[in-house]
Amino acid sequence: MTNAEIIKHLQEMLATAQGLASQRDPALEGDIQIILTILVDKLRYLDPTNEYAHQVEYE
Amino acid sequence: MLYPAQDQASRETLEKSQLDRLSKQLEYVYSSSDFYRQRFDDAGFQHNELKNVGDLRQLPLLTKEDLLADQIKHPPYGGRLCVSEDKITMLILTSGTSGIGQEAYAMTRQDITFGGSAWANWYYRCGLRKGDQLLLTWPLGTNSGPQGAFLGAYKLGANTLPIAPYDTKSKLETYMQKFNPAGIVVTPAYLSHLTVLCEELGIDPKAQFPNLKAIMIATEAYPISWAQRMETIWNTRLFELYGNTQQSGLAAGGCETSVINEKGERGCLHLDEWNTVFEVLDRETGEHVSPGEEGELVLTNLFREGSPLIRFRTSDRVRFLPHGTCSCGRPTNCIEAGTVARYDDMMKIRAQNIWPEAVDALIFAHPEIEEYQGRVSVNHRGREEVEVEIEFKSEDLPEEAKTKLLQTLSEELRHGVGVSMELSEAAHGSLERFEFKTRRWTDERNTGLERVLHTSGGAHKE
Repeated sequence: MTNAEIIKHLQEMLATAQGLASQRDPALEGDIQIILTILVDKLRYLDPTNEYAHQVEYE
Repeated sequence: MLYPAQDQASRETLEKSQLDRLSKQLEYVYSSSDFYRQRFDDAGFQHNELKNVGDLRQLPLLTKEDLLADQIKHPPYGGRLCVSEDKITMLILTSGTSGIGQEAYAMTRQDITFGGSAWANWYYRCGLRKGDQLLLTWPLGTNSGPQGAFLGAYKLGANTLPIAPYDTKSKLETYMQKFNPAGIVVTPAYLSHLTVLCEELGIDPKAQFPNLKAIMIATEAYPISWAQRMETIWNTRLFELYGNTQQSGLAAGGCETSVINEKGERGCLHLDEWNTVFEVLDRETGEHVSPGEEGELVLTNLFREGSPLIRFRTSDRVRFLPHGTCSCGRPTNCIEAGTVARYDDMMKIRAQNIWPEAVDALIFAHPEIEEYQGRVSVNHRGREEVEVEIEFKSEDLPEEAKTKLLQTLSEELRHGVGVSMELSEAAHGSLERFEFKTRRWTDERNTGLERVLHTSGGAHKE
């Protein structure tokens, strides 16, 4: 898998996680925030010059 | 390389990324914090007109005193807090105490995750991989270093063993010999102590720890001869990191070339410029120093979310080495390995930050005491020792009262600054008095590190 493909998958995962986080379900909330931070973190390492959302923007 | 997009990027790409990220971070702090809005406005700083990273210099430097004053005005986190309190998932305090207060840093999930990643990335550069046994000897507390070390290990997938609570003999015999680690995180002084104890116990590190890929050190400067000797004795390479609470984890880390470069000279620590803007400033002129010169490290967090800092003066003295100095080719600027020191009187003892002012406050709270002098050293067994001589005001104070006071003070110091000190009485009038700059402390650890290596014999002699 190329770097670009990995980034694309991560961005899809991020969008899915953001959707789940917006539900504010207490059963998900803590863990989904951890997943969000991990995805954003990984994207900034793999794609340091691209646009990626700051956490305050997607909460 | 774990992240080629960063490690193989051009300097131009890195600087473009910094500028982009800095613009967002400045907008973020301006819109989220009264503290920064006031500072920007007072300086007439138009953050939305940022043209290059150097424009940051339109802002005044931020000091520890500024942060503490802000915390007093807006307790407990200060007006610089940029998130609502329900987003805080951990609190970090500057280790030890300056005698004037501890800085408080609110950490969000993002701050914690990002800090852990910087460590994980560095462990990878040191040669550690998923499943490698990693021993952490730093005690976990409210300071940032040990937490980052643990979180990074967890993120890397290392098989982590935090062994700080155990005595050194147990660490060696029960844990290191049994689990045969691939990596150890230690302070230089503690590594010396481990080395001496190995010799006393008849343990040859070369033979007993064949899996060791890296010994990771931080918090203290050291002679290069010491580093060379340690690499020989332990038959592995030393890697250094420089970190501080204000940077939210790891500020600079050595790369694959270790603390000693190919020429046998001191190596480089790569500044984590993807996460932070660093300036190395001449304290007199405020100008950026030239390559090879020493200056004060000033930092601006690019991602920190809870308690970000903009142009914070670290009081750390570093030697600036520009990108391209290191043969690894990474685009980041560097600082020299093994020589980070302080401009103020703060001492790092057993991974704790100790300010003489804090010790002064505890000692001179006792009106019976006239003067004191402290000495930090490494003893013949490689242990860091703190000895404090106390001079009483009156020669007539009963022996029993003096003994009791020393015992009480010893406990107060241990609790107050977090480090045990050996107290003794000095003869009346024997200690130096200071008319101008008070210098009650001497640090003889570098000499101690050298001495331990030269006097230790037996198993490790080449």
